[in-house]
Amino acid sequence: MAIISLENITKIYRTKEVETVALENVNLEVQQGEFLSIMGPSGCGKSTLLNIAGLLDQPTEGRVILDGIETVAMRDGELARFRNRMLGFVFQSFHLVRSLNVLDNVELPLLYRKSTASERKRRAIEVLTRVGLSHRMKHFPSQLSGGQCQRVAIARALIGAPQIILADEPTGNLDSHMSQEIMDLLFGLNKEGTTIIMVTHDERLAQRTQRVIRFFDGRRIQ
Amino acid sequence: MYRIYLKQALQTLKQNPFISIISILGTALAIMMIMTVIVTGEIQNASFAPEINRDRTLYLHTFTTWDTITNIQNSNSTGIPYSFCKNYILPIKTPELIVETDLCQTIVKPEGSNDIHLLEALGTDADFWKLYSFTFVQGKPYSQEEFESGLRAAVLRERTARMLFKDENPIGKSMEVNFLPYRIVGVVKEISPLAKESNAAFWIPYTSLPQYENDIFRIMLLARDKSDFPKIKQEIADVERKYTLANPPLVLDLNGPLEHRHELLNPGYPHKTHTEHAIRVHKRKTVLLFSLLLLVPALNLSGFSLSRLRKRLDEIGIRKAFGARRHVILIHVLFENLITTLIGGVIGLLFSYLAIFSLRRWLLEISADGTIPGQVLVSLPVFLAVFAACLLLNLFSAGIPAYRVARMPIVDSLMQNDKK
Amino acid sequence: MIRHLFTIIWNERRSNTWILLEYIVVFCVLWFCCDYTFIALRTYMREDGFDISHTYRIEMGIRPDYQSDDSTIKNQAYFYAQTLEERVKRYPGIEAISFAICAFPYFGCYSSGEAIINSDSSGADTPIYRIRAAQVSSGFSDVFRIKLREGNGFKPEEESTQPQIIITPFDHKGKRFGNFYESVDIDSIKTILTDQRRGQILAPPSGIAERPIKEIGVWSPLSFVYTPLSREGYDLYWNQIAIRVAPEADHDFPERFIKEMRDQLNIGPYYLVSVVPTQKYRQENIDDLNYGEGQLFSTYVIMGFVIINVFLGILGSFWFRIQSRRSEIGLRIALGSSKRKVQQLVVGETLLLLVLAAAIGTTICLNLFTTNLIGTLGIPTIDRNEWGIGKEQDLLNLLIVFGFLSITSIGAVLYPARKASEISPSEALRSE
Repeated sequence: MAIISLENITKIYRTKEVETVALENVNLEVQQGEFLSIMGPSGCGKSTLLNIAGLLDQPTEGRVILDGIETVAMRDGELARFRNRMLGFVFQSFHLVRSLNVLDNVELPLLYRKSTASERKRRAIEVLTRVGLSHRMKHFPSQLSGGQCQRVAIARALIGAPQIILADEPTGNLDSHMSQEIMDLLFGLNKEGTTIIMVTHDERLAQRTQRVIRFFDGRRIQ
Repeated sequence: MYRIYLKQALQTLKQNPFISIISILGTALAIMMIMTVIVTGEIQNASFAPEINRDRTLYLHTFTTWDTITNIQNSNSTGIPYSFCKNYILPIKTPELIVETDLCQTIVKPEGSNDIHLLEALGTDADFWKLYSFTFVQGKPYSQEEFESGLRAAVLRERTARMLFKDENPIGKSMEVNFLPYRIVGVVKEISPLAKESNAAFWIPYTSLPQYENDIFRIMLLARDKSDFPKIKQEIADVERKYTLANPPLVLDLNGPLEHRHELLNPGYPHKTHTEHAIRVHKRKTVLLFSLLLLVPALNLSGFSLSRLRKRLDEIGIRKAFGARRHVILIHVLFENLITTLIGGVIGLLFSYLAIFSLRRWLLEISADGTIPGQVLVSLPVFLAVFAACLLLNLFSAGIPAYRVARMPIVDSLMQNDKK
Repeated sequence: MIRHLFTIIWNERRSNTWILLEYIVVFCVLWFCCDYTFIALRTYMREDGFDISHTYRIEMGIRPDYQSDDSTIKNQAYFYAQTLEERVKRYPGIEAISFAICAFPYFGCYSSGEAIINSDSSGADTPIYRIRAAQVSSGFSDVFRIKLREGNGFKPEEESTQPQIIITPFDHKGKRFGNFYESVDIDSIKTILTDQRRGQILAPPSGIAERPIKEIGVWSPLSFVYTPLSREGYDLYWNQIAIRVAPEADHDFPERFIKEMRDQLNIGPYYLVSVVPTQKYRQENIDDLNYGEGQLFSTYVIMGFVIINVFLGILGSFWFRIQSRRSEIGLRIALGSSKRKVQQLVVGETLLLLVLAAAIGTTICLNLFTTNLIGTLGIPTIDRNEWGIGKEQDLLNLLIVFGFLSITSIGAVLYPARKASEISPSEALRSE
């Protein structure tokens, strides 16, 4: 069964004068355990699609079904719970909280679930060890390199054991060496069964994934 | 959860020292002003030795008659004439105590000395010592019998005793008060000048004053319990009516009896309506003042809160992406802001103590060497008031920005874009 | 440039709304404080028409072994007063002394009476004017330097050939005699008929004061009618006794005088109790009302509070702004703007906001004055027409408040502005 099903997704941005069609009638099904790349020139709507798939944004028309559950009519609280349980996010600009140290940053998703402080700490150390940053637990984001920041972000995305990870240009701000490290991590996760949807404009990276979808002007072309 | 918020709040403060200092200073300034007003009010109203019964005491000190025919004020004095006290006030049943006092300027010459001192003496009755709780370091007060017989006895304040008799024991010695000899029967511990009703350089029975029947008095009515106030007020109203009936065409207005906090607003108005008006105006002024003291800093801090939040929009977006609900974000923002507010609050409270001490001539109308009872300054009502002020300030300054940010769509937060 | 500033302000309107709101509130508060201060200084604190500086009240007591209605004392009253006057005048530095019954400014005793103008009888239709009746000895106008239009006050009784009456106006323009409810033009008075202790006096006014006399902190709502203190009116215990001291001699005067004169002023049954400066009575009386020094100080405190807040607010807000607009500023510099122009941009933005707030604030304030809202809040107001305070006060308020706020804002924004101009474009444009 498809773990994510996007049906007839249309997204239109309306201002007083201008109507921008970001996505038009997009259909997509992602199977469990898949590693999917979404490619396309900038402004073609790929990030928008990722946001909709990740319940960060609502489509103007269409349905988003995650794990068999219809999400369009869900209210804010339900969506939040859903995201917390099922999804993990990795962004191009990391989006780490500047005033929290690495450990606290990674624990963040568990704050919004029922868990004790010791459990949170245990899980956080676990995932940090996984990404190879357990020796930097007390550091602040400003004290880490780009690659280290992204690894922390991945640890944060992992801590809740989500079924799906959505990555928006995860290596966009990194040099080739660090990019390699990050991709290795992601591939490793996918081998363990996590579904990954990645937006990228790097052709070589995309070719390494299982499936590539291309977008142009809000429409899927491949 | 809240421990993390606290950690984050403190870390944020450390990371932006300039803005943090300005926010904290702004808050401290506001809290300082608010607390100065509140603590000053507390000091003026609270009960402390010797005036420990302020909350149960009613005051009368205006006597105005109005001629209904010519419509002109007939007489007005800031004290109750003796004959009126005796015939109309003393017979009242409800109060536990009725106390009369008569302040007079006196010339004092202590025994065995040629020095002359100009001192303020308070002529009292014997119940005065029951109403007010003085600590006698030597001797005792004059009794009811001594008062009734017009005995020339005096109770001195410690400072007065030292001034008149230096290191000698004053008990049993005598001094001339307005050329009449008085015997010292007691010495009391120093009291704060804030105890304005009971204060004097020394106390004597007013019956020892020549021609006291022509003097005017201040009257204190001690109720057994605050619930007796309406009854006492009714009795006084009855007394006014009685006098009016007995003395046409005059109408009597005693402008009272007033509770302590209303008494503070009455500088001697001849009529009830004046006092009622003054009380109404005072209430409105207080509301206006507090609104101003909260609003202006709240506007300041709002601007900061909004700016600070805008810098952290992406963090809010991430939290929401990872499952934080709107009310959780709201509480988070308010709580973090509250930390700053509380820090400013504590500093502001300390500054307010400083302000009250250094400006006490203006605020409390006492001289530079007057003491302020400490237990009023550092007390539970004061702390609760600070906390409430901080909460209110926090709500006003961070409430709207927090609400808006919590409702913002996640994508917009992440893209740091809220120009819709 | 202005249009450009407007564009920027409009674009940033979310955060600008807070600053604008704060400016408006602060503007209105300062306006009222300023107004209050000026009115207090222009009217209530002003004293012309008499001068209480270097004047003192001498208070005498009476020994308890004498009864105050003892006829011996009554007969001697004038003699005792003369003795006191002689002895006091001999003290170095005393310029004048006067005795009175309920007459002196701020001393706290005022006695009402009636006067009939330009008529010699109190027929049913004759208008009666309620006034303050006061009896004073001849040194009165010397002690308080009452400015009379002509003449020097009372001649000593022996020297005068006819009854003497000095009157004062009750309005601050000095033109009307009587009180608020019934009054006449003071120049139209030919005779006054008034009750005194020793019977009625009918005479033309022998002197007219230029300005009204202050009662307790407010301009007297009634005219004063002064007549000479008769011999029977003297009583050292009940009279008000005032002296004027030469400025050079007015150092620690009360203490010295009391110490040196106490024995000399044991006259008959009377003894010296105290010597108090008139200033002290004025202080006590004025502070009770709404325009005292205590109230003025409160106003200054509020103004200070509000200005400090504005300062901190502007400082903080613009600091944030600069931070968040780094790339924009870097861009401007890269495109050719000079450091100075960047600073001007920042300062210009603040001032333009202030101008907007001033426009709105002025409208609000001018309108609020016409309603009774101010009065109900206990903020004292006066009848501006009556006092001759016109629109120029509003203009003055506007200029002063705007000036204060401009200086504060510019001061507050200088630091962020300098920081902004020092942003290096390459750094600013490089960040995300």
